[in-house]
Amino acid sequence: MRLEAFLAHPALEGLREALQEPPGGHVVAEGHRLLSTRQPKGVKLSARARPQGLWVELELAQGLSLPGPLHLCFALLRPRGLQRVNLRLLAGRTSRATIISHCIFPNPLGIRHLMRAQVLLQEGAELSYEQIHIHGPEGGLVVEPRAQVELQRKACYRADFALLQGRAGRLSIHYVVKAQEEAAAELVARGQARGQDQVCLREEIHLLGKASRGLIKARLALRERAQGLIEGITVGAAPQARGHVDCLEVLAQEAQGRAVPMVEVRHPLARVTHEAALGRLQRAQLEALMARGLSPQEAEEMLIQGILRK
Amino acid sequence: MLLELRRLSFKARGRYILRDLELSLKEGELHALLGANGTGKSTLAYIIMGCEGYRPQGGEIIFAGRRINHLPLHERARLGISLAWQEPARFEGLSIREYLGLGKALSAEQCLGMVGLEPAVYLERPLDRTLSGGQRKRVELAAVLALAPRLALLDEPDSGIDMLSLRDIAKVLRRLKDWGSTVLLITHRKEVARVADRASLLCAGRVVFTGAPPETAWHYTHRGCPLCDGRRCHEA
Ligand SMILES: Nc1ncnc2c1ncn2[C@@H]1O[C@H](COP(=O)(O)OP(=O)(O)OP(=O)(O)O)[C@@H](O)[C@H]1O
Ligand SMILES: [Mg+2]
Repeated sequence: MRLEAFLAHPALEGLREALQEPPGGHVVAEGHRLLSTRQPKGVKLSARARPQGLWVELELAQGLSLPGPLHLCFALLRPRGLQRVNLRLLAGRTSRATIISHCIFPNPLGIRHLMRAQVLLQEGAELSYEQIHIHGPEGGLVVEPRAQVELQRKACYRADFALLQGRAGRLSIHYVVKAQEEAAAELVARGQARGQDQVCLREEIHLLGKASRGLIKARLALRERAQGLIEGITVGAAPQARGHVDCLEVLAQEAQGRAVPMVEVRHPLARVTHEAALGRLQRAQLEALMARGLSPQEAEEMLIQGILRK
Repeated sequence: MLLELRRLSFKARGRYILRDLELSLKEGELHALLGANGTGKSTLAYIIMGCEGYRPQGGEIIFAGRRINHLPLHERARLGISLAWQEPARFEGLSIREYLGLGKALSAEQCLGMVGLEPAVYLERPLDRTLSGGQRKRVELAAVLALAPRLALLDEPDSGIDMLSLRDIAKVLRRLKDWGSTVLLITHRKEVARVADRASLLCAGRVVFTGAPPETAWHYTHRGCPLCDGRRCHEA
């Protein structure tokens, strides 16, 4: 498949526009085939496609400041198939970059998407890693993103996982971040599920270095018979380490949810806090929106999108 | 008549909140509803809007010649009924612009201007607990204004609003009237009721008096109720 033909798919509109932004680099893959790669200046990019999976390696040069986002696209346009992605990312000392990963499965009936990422931020590097998931309405998919992230001294990592459209299917996220001295990590995950979807968001931050910081923020909206679990784990193991876990789930219809914030302190001068809220969509809010002319479904959708945004 | 309530009764936990209530609103009229705390004013507004848990056990709600007792809230909204809540809900992650954008009669900017909130400051603010009570109430009034509804139920739009801003409320009421909206204005203030065409007084779940606003207000402030002198003779 050629890149142009691939990008012509209606589900890829957002990506099409993103790839036109100068002058970022990109890796675009459908299934286990690479459709296009572009290496921006200062980045060593290697991408290989094998029948068993994709191997993508990115190395950001020391001191590099990437002017625009680097886009990764992992899609499966067919209704069935397997996609394994192995991603290695190294951000050199004091480099700064934004990476946006688009995972697009427009009509999944039997799809497995397995992502294994290893990320290393060297001293003072700053990386923002956004994952935008766009799933079709069928829900026939298994999505398992896994990431191990190491933050050296003063490195700063921000990740945002967003599934705002379509069904979650069986989604299981597991991210582990280890932060050294004065490093900072912020993990945000926002997802919604319906039908028989099952979602597990497990995020861990280990504050190993002095004055390291961590924030976990998870938002999950569950409708119909969906089931969800949020596990936000922060371990404070060094003096002046500060962490916070903030989990919020909203439920509608027969959906079931659990939120488990787990905080652990292994050093007397570390401080880790948490908050968790789990609740039904409020009748008063739904009625206020319906009194302005929205249908019950539209009112529900508007409330949920609001909650996922915050 | 745009709205006719006939022998409306509503019971909650075995107790009558409204009992054989009769009220008619003429098309295009601004009708004030007065009454002491707990007489059933908000309950009446919820029943007309069709809020959950507020199905009358007896009586008729006739809107534009059609019985709407069985219609759910959102379908009543589509017929042109809207409500500004006495204590409006808060929304996390929803901006004032989005909330007001649900109405198409006036732009969000114009509506905010009409209720005395500077659009440049307020449009993008979230509709959450960071707004003061009075600010949230003004946004609620603006949201109903944005819809230019056929019937606007305004539940104490003036409570929690400072004296100076009462003028903004009068401006909104005039605008709704110019558009031909019918307004049921629930209030405790004589000076607000005075702008109405007619006013009714509620006592213990019944309309006990309807007439010119000054006369209704006089009964309300001097006697509480013309029938029972405020002792709530109708209470079972
Ligand atoms: N769902 C309900 N269940 C039980 N009692 C209710 C319910 N709704 C209202 N009531 C009672 O009905 C009465 C009327 O309440 P309502 O809120 O309508 O009064 P109001 O006239 O609007 O008063 P205020 O001036 O204080 O706003 C009160 O005694 C209230 O406690
Ligand atoms: Mg009231």
